[in-house]
Amino acid sequence: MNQKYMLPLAGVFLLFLLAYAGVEGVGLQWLFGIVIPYLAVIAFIYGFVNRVMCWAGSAVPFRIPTTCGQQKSFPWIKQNRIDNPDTAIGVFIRMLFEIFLFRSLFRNTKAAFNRDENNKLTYSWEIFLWLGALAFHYGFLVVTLRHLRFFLEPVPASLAFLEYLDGIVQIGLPGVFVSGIVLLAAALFLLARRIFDAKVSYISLAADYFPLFLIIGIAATGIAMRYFTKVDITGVKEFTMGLVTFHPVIPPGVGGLFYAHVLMVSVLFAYFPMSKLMHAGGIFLSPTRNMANNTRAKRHINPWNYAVDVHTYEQYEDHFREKMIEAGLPVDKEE
Amino acid sequence: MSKELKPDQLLDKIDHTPSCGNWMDTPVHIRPGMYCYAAKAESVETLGLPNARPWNPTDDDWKLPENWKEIIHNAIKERLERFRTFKIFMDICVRCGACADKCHFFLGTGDPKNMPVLRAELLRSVYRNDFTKAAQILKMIPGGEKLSGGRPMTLDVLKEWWYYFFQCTECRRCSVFCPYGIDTAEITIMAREIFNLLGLNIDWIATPISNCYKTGNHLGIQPHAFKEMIEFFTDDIEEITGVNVEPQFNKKGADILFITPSGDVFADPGTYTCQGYLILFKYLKDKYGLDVTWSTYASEGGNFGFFTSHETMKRLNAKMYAEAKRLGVKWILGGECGHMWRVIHQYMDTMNGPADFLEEPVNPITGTKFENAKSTKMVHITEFTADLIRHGKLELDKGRNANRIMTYHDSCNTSRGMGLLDEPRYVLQNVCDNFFEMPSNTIREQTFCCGSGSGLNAGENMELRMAGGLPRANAVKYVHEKFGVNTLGTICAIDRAALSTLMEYWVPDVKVYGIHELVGNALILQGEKERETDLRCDPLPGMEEEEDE
Amino acid sequence: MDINQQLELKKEEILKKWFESTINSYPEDTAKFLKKSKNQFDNPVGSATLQSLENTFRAILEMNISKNYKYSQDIVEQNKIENALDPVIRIRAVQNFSASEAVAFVFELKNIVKSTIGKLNDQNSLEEFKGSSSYELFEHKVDLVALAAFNRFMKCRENIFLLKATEAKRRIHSAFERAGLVTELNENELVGSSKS
Repeated sequence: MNQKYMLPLAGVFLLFLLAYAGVEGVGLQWLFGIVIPYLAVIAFIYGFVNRVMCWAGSAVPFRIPTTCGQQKSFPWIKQNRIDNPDTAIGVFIRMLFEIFLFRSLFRNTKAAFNRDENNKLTYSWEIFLWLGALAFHYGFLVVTLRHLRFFLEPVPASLAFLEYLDGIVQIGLPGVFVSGIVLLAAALFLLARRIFDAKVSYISLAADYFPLFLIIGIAATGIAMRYFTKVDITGVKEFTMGLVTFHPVIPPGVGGLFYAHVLMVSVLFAYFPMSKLMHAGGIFLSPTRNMANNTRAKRHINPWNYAVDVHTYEQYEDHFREKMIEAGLPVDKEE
Repeated sequence: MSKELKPDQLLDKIDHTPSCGNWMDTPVHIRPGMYCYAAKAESVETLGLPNARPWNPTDDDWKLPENWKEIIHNAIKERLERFRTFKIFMDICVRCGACADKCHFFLGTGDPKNMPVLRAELLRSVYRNDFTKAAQILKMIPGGEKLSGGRPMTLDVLKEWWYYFFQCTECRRCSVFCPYGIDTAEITIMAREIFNLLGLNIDWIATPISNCYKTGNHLGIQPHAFKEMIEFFTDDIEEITGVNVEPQFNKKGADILFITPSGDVFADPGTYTCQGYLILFKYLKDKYGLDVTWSTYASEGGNFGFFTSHETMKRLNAKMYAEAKRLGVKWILGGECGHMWRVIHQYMDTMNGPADFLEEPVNPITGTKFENAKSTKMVHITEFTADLIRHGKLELDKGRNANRIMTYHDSCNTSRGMGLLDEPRYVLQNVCDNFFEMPSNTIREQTFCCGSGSGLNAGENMELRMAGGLPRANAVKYVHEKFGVNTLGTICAIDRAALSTLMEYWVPDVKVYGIHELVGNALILQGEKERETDLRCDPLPGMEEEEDE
Repeated sequence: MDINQQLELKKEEILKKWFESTINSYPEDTAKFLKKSKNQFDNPVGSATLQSLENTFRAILEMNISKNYKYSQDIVEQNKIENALDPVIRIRAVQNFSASEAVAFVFELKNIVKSTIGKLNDQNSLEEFKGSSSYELFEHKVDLVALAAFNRFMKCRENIFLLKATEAKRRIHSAFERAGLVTELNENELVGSSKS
């Protein structure tokens, strides 16, 4: 068995059992429901801000965007304003595409539709990475937004509308939210890809599996509570409102499964800033994407641009003067 | 190794379960044909770089300074503060694998450590171990070290870095496909800076930069020889066209300073491109009175300092502005080169500017303002020529290139570090009728590297170069077979030299041409005689029979 | 059914196995990628290998020779095989393979054919088949392909060494020489003798 994913998997199981047993057996609701969530949120906010500040603290000495299209040169040559922007607006649009549509990842598919030597249409598997990533992130986003209803009173109309859209496929009772299913399926897909695609498996670390297992665990417990064990929603809302209003309460009748869910979410929060999950913040700061390609038109300043030794023309001429005169090259100082 | 082991027993010993993170445990084997020779001590000394001594990469002892680990640690730390790119790229990779099969070296060599993500992980693993909280926390748990994905710095790790960071041509193709824009070139640049602190450069980079520093160009050509060489081209051109193109050197008060890689002056087939420039400048002088000068001091457009460290790049690049200032020209025109243009476009003004002693570049013949170069004040020659052609300022006889069935190779640096894609194509299509693009996933921003960039075009690493160039050659072969393409156009000096060799191995019928060689062939000089041959002294189309007579 | 018909019948299967065994000579993680991606430009090694093996297999089927045929007896036959093999050998000649590893894939074909055709025949006739003169002829053909592979491999290696030895001289010195800056180097001799 592969310890790169077995250990993270065991870790997530352990977390689950810890909370479940802790609550059901020992009655540590206050620890898993109050202390840890507060600590996790503090760790998240502190860690996230700290990390972003730390990045922002590093200099950007050169303007080095990766250009992915025609530059701006003449009016009669069509510039690719998005993939090779020369203005702030262009950069903004490029970043929007990157952040909301994963444009660079989508490039993988561009080459995908091609006829092979037997004139058969072939497509590459990589389009699924883009689709999977998109499904995963949007699923995650909608699920997170939906959870705001537990922390807001009254629930804003926009949130209710989102829920309406999310539940538009009306199956069963309580109605199925598409986002949760999509999130779980996409996370499972990304996990499968990591395990079964040889080249991805080769490059994967334990740190790549752990958050996936954690998110799968969170999604699975969430779905289980909503559709199967039917957790006491009023109790949960009482609990979460207690947390946000800083008057934490432990509601009766909410079981171990819920605390396991909360613990895993807490761990995800605390783990977030010190892991690769910080790509969520990093993408905004990536200098190859968030800078305009106008370095020749507008000088970029390097904050640590120190002076260096150079070989001056005078030194050069001193060295070669005779030969230069002999060859008929003009010199500054005739001796 | 036990010699009694039979092959199938050996096979049993190989773990076929999907790898258990064991790339970290596979020691590097420095294979002849894949690495470049170590830098000579004298070359390292010229620029006063540390730890100059004779050493050999295949030796166990690399003669490192005693505190080499400390040097590396401090160097990483310093660079994390100086380069946001480096810091972010160390932190945010999610190992999604989108870049894995985008690297020409991975595609050509089949070595999984050439996947860009893994190349970066080589360094990232040490970064994680030394600089991240997660690793420090995990280290406290027994067995946690493995979980962090970190590893301590050892001599084997350093050797692995050296081997694989000199198997990256800094072409940035992976960066195009990365969802966060992680640019392996940046990481390679940092790694090579670190190597230079330990005296671990390769000779193919160290000696050119030493030459360039002393004599003004990579090949160490002294001023009189430089002039002699260009005058020799003048004789050649006169023989072919009957016109003396009269190049000027170090001329104060000229309109424009022209700088091109010294490869164009001294290495075939770049020399023909150089003749193309000479013909163009003569034409513009006769017809429009444009005064262009060459410089023997700033006689190198290329900058192998870029492959050494940011500091060395700056030291070598300084000559361009210094010479432009000394000569009092209006602005600078740059020849066809790849990494030279990455340096000019993305670094020069920041490093050695502001160029307030120059004028905002305007084409005096067409009146076009080169808005995109108004601060750096240096214009690419294909931008310049494209503008001339667009305004109908050049008389061109396409027929003279009728036997050239062209395709065009985008250089990595001008496409992914600049976006110069359509200007050279425009020039090309105005001097030549037969033009066929290679498949779309191998051109423009997705272009494949020649496999010899970033100072890796030495002779001793020929296997690496041929393997790394395979994806490019493969696409050329395709258009060669499909459309009968016989000429590969390019705007990069390293390409002209390296692709010629690459073609000789993979597609021997295809020749490599610079764009301005074709311009030189097509351009009709005032008072020229009827040309019978092109610049390579091969008969022009339609002139073949006359030769037979 | 004679062996050629059987080979023709099982062509797809044999080629697939041959391709896989050839690709498996790469590191495992690389091999999976090389097998997977079908695009000729995204995966030049995989596609060139497949194409080259197909052509070689066809050349074997079309080879019209007797058992006593000696290699290089017929230059046309020889070129046919060598040209079919060229792309795959040319690639392996610059990769991380020793000479034996680079050409070992040819011999694999014997085992693959034995096991594949074996399925067409029952046990008795398989033994008989292996002893048959037509199978011996097939093995002989594979041996000829192996010889051709050695030939081609050596040619590619020579080509590499030649490029190593002459590239710098040819590119730099020929310009110097034309300018009369160096005279001692006879470039034509250096290059001319080795052009094939």
